Amino acid sequence: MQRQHTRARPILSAPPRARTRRLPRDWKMRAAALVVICAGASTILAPFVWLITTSLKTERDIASSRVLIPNPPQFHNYVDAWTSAPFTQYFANTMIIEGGVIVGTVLSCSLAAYGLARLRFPGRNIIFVLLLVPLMLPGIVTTIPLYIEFSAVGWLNTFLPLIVPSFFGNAFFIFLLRQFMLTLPRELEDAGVVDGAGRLRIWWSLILPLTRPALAAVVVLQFVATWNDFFNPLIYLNSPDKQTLSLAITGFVGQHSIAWGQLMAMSAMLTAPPAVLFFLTQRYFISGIVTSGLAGR
Amino acid sequence: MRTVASPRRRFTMSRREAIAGYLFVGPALLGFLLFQAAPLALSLFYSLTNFNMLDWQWVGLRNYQRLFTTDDYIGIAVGNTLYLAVIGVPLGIIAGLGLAVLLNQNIPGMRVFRTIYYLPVIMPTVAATILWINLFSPTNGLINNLLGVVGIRGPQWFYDPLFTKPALIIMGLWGVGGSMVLYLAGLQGVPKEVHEAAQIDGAGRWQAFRNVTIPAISPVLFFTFITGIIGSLQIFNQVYVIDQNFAGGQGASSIGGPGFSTLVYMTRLFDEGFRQFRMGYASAMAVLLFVFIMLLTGFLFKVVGARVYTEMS
Repeated sequence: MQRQHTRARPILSAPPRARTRRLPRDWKMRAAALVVICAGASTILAPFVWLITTSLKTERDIASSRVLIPNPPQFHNYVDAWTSAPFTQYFANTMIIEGGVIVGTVLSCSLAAYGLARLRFPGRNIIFVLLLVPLMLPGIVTTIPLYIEFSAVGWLNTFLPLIVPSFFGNAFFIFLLRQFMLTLPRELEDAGVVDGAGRLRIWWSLILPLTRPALAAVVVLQFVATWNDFFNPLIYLNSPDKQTLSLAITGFVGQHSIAWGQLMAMSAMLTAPPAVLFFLTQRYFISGIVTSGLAGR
Repeated sequence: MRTVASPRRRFTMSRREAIAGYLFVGPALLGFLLFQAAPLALSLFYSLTNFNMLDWQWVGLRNYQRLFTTDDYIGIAVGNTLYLAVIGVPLGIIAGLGLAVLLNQNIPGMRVFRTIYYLPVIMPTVAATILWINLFSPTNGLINNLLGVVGIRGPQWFYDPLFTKPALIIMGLWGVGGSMVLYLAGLQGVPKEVHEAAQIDGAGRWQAFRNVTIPAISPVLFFTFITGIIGSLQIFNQVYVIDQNFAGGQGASSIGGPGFSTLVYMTRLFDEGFRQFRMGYASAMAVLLFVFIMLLTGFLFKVVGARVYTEMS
């Protein structure tokens, strides 16, 4: 009796008779499962298709709800959407914040991670645990006092409250980088120490290049998190010209004469960068996040 | 300064290493104090005042008193939030787990399916909410169109107090791929021998699932359950955008949606703190949420955590 644990893949070196595929015993179940999976996948994809098709329809088509595929596709919706408000400014705002945040995060977190992974100092373990505590706090419990303090120093309606804190570490990324650095071979560092290199030099020239995969993960994750951040720009950025993209797009919601084609185009454009980043790196991510083991990098 | 052979009294290697260590973790440690510990303590402090960004007075427990007794809307907010958490999270778990089991069968193209199901997770919440507002549009949205095809007149969804929260839950289920990939990983981590042993023992499919698979992935289940509950208690982005849509766009600062059916804890907090500038009251709300989450997590760890298998024996 044959156990069907493996796919019924023909083996090249087998005699011809063995190449005929025998249906697995539970093929009915598998077929049913496949049907359900496909139905589910279509349901998941449908909104994306709707997003794109609606963004290419005329307003009349959208209102009539009879037209499925726009003909001809109104590509100008994307241009009109972008020019309907100073989106170039909003994009620039978002990228300025992104740039600052990523630099700050990478620097502060890799410094702390190296210190925690390789350097010995009294209280190291306590400090490590302390630095992980923020992971358990609901963000709101620190937001209000921070807002009040930033207000006191006159940082409201600037990018500073959004950028500066990232130069002071991030619990999740410190943890991620530390775990990764623990797996690096010590010989290189020891050689560096013997050669008289200062710790900072070792960190910069030896450790960081070796940590590139994990740093890439940090950059992508932080980019997406900041790109999607809505609450912080909402409370800190009041002037229209300082808005970020997600903030600006929300401003169009609910208006009476809403141009859904353009709004869909805006949503599609807002989704594009994180989506592109995801597709470029997904091989590393789904398996990486899922197995949550940096040893499986 | 090379100190290889003779350790000097002050600048020994370990001393220098320790100093370097403190310098390296310095920014992060400072960050913890400045941006986590201090604000946490200050939240508690502000919650005992009636700070409104201009002046303040000590009011003791009056904010908490108001929270528990005289605030009419808090009950609604808490109720709505709990509704979303209690219904949304289990539904999400069942859907995610079911899909993971289905996908775990060495079906060709599994990776493609996995990516498809994960796609909604990468979409910014604001963009996704806008998309779903249109999908649920009572007059020309896809959902009501499809319902119309089978002869059902679709409801007003985000404009009808009875259907706003179900619509939110449906929107949340769209992101089921996020937990599904975690369950998939968990399922694939179950060694084949376990399933084979169950088969040999004559366990039926459902029995095997219930008594073997579920315990085997109980850590993942526990994790998604806890993070799911904690996350849904703090839902904000989607609800804010939906409320904006209902209230008529920028400038309209009303929250709560039709009939206050989408008034949730975080939008209420946001309104109190950043629109009405009742920072003291908002801080009390924040502290209360924090305490609730801590207690809930502790409770769940104790009650459910004991039944989570941390090692296969």
